Amino acid sequence: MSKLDITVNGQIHHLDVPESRTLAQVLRYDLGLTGTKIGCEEAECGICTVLVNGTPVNSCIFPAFKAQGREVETVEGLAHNGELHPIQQNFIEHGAVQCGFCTPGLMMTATALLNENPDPDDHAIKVALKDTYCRCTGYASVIAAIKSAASEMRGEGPLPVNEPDVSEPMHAISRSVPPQYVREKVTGAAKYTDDYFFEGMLFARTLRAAYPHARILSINTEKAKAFPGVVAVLTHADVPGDNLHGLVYRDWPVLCGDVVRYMGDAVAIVAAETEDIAAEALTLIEVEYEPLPVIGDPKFAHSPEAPVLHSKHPTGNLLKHIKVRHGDIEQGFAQADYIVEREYRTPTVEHAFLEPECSIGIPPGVAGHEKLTILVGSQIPYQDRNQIALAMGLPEEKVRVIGTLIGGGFGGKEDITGQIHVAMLAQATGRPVKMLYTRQESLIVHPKRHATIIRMKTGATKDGKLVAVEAELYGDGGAYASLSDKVMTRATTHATGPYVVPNAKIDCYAMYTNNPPSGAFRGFGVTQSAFAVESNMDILAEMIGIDPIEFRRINAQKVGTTTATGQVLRESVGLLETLRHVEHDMMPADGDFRWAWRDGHKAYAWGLACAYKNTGLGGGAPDRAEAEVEAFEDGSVEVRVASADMGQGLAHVVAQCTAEELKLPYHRVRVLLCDTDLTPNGGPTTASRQTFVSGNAARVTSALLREALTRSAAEFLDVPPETLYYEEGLLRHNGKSVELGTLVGWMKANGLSSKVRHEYHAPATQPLGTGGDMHFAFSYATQAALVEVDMETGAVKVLRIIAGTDIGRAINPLMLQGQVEGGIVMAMGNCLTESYIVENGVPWTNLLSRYKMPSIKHAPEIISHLIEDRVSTGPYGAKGVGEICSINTSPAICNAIYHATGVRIFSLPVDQDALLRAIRAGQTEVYTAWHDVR
Amino acid sequence: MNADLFIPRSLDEALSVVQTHGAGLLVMGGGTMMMAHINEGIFFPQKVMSLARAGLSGVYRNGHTQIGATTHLTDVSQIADYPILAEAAFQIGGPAIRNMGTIGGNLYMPQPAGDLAVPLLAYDAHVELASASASRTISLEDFLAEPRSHRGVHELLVAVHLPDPTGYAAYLKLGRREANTPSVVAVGVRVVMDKQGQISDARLALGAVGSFAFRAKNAEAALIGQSLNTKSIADAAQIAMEESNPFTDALATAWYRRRMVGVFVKRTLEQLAK
Repeated sequence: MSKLDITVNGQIHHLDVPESRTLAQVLRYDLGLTGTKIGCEEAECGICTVLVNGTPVNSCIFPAFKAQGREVETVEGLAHNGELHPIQQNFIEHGAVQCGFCTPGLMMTATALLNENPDPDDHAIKVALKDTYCRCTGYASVIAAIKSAASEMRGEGPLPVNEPDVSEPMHAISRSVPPQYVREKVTGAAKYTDDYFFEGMLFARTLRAAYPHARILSINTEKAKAFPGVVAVLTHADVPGDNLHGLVYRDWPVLCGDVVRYMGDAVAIVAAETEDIAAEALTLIEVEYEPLPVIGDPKFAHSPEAPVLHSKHPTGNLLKHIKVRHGDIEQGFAQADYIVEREYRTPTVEHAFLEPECSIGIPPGVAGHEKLTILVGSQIPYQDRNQIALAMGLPEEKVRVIGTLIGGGFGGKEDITGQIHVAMLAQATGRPVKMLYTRQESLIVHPKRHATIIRMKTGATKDGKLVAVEAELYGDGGAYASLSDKVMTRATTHATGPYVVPNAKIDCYAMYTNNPPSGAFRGFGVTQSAFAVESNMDILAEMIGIDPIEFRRINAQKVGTTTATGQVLRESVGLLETLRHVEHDMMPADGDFRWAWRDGHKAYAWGLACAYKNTGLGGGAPDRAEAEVEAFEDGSVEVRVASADMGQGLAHVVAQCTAEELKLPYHRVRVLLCDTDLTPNGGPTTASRQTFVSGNAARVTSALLREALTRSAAEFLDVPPETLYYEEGLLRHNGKSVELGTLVGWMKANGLSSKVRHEYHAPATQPLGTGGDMHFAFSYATQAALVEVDMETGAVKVLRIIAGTDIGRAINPLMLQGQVEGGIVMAMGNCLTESYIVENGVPWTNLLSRYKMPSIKHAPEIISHLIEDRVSTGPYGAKGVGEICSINTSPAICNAIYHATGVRIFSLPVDQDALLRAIRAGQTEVYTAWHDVR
Repeated sequence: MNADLFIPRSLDEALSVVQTHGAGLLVMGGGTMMMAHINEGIFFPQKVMSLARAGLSGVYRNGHTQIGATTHLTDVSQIADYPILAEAAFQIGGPAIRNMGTIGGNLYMPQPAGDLAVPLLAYDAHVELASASASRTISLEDFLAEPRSHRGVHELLVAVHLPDPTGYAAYLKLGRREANTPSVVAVGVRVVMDKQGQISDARLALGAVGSFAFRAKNAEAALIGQSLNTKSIADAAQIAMEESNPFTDALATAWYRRRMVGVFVKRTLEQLAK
């Protein structure tokens, strides 16, 4: 221990801390200033940035002793006397805050920039923020916010917000209101799981498998148990209930006892007085293994030589065979004048949400909690509760899951990670227990986007009509089922693309392997099949000699189209409108459009691709959400639903629905999310479903509350109920009015409830193979990419993306645009840089620095059009947006690369090394990706 | 980090720590790589010495230029007299990294990191090494080429020395993407022209295409006596490609790295020709 004297946000602190502590640890854990976030501890993500004597540093690797005698500024010091700093205010105004986890780092880096340069242009901002990641926003809003803040700080006033055009704004709907908790997120007050501390809390770590596939011969925990400071060491023998969890198939051991199937498998868990002790204790656990043959890829998994990974699974390593049959495939191809058949590969992709997984378990009777309580930033709190209860051998009512704020999810926080482990350790020790994953652990453990091998054969007539699609997909499901069944089903059912395809035969094989499990990831399988579909579309268009846009227009799904799963589309098919808007913007003012042109060693070209994506679970799964809405005497209303807001903005969507139905000012609506004791079940936050399902739940429940309020107000004012109308928190009738709060007081006094709970059921769907409506809505998109290829280096730069996105209705236009922009930049990573590399079951990508995602320097110009082709069953016509914006970017870029270079990419991510090789050798096809060059 | 931490307050104190603890000691400049590796669980040092308070930072002009070993990259990026050194420093990381990383630490980074060696080679830099008993100044070239095992475990890099710059210089780096990435190749060139517009002296340094940054001396020699024209540039680029000894890693294949030597030597020389 040594003395540390530092000034933080103007306040002097004298501390005794270990000399080896980092500044981030001192700020967060010694001073309780949890606004500074830790994302990677590798100085890679930049979100821990604080200022030391005015200059930015990465506090996660900054030894605290170096701050001795210095002045430190953190996000908590930006606002003064409750008044937000212009940077904070403009991050809110310009929609630059989604999950909020990276926001402090972005704002502190921006603060340092503006201190030095009061008028930065886009380039200066990009250079300053190039090592500060944001995984949600796509950076466009961040740049706008910083420029506006700079303008305000120069005394020139803020800049106008780039709000998208939308039709028919209502009272609260189609209004760009600020997201919920946004003030907390910009001031550092927002609490994510690791920001909670409890008296007597222990810290836990997990011992992971030493092999991707091995038999466990013995586990000896004696030395670890005897280590000073260790309070509990638990193994499979200590799981009180069922030692299996899983969202679809329960095949994933809570703690492995006989076999490990991937490197992220948990073998033992330790709770100790400090994190360091827990980490040290892991090294004292002795596990004897007998290594087993490893299945490294899905095709080998399907071969007879492969070992069987799950003996209880009836179809062996074949997790699921998914089939789509439509029309007559042979007749279809017989009608074709042109047929193209190609094989495509996509890699495993990591979510890289900036908040690593964290769970806290609190035993019953501790810290005011009556039940076993788990705090976690989860996308599916009720399923968590179900899985925790089963493993703990407890009835569900004895377990409470409280959802904290989530620092990004994108599908990666649907499965169980530490939730059951902290429950076990809390129960075993009688003390609160926190388990925070390191970034390296997060990379190895949680399920990822499926790597796929897709063979796709597409046939068309000479006049440009698609007649048949035959496809075979292999999906690498990894060691456990997770959501593979559902994800690969979506990849399969969407494998015709958003087109009229009268004959289709599609087979998908989701396979078990010894790689990290694959599960949900924004796009849910459709990202992968769209790459194959849209590449084949361009190849065919060229063979036929037809413009790629015209080819898509001829075949586009419309109202009345029957999809390959037998669903008749009855409404809200906005594909042609998205195509029209994008095409319009691609055309230069002089009308002289060219797909490609050269300027020295730079080749420029456009590429285009379309996509569609279901909203909601579909496939016959009951899709419902329950909401509770309560009005209070202070005139406020609270809406409660256990649906997750991981930054995408579900909270403001439900608040806007409630504000709309009650004609309340938006700021009078509060939202309580994700507490299994206080909020009814909103179902999983997945499949772009929450705006539709929880939005509808909030809408319908609020309407029911309105009816109850109207009845009471009619009585209170003594007027007929049908003549009452709502206006800004008042119920009015011909000059008479009553404040909502007053009415609620009167209702309470008269024994009437001002609370309504209602379960909304989305329109029924049918299982795949039965025909009928497999989904209740689809969103549509067209994107065009303008790329620059350096013909001497093979480097690809995306200059501009034009996006047309049909989302039914924009409930919150600005935040919805943020979804589109963020989805596009994430998809650019999918196309150009991101690949989670596993070598024979052993992840090479075990450090964030080995995972290359787009930074602000990659952010292209994005021109986004929101198309609002209403769906009658959606809330005010809305359907999903979270995924549709992130699906066709990759094929659009690859189609552009083809136009620029004459080389077609068959394997993602695009490898500039391989691309250059092809360019130089005059080859036209590239089948190797970045990870293959290693 | 569970290690004994030494924070010497002077060079003498630092040298005495090195003398006492020798081989088991991890010496840390700005810690941008070390601390990350410690957090990542790649390094488990028992003893760490930070040079942050040893008084080794600062840029001094005294007949030549001396840059203290722990001078931050931010400060290096502002040394206007050596524009390509400043440029190379500026391209390393974002502002937070440059406020922590040091010139000395950068020279110890394994390839493909450690870009600063490239412009420093182009400027004929020397490094000053000190131990408790002696000090020596050797060329950066020799320092980089010297096998680590030959370096005294009791020696510290104290300063970088640069003669006054002459001629014109250019620097370009190719990364796999635009930020947060080590080099695929880094090229630094400096040429001195005589009155007839012919090259009288040339330095051509390459990074990330060998086990350490090095001077492509055959290419340098080929430039002497030439004017910068399409042919002399193409010839130098071709020779530099042949002289490089690239490796394959997660960023690029050796094939690609070698090709990029050609492209980027050409581009840097073309910049000078303008």
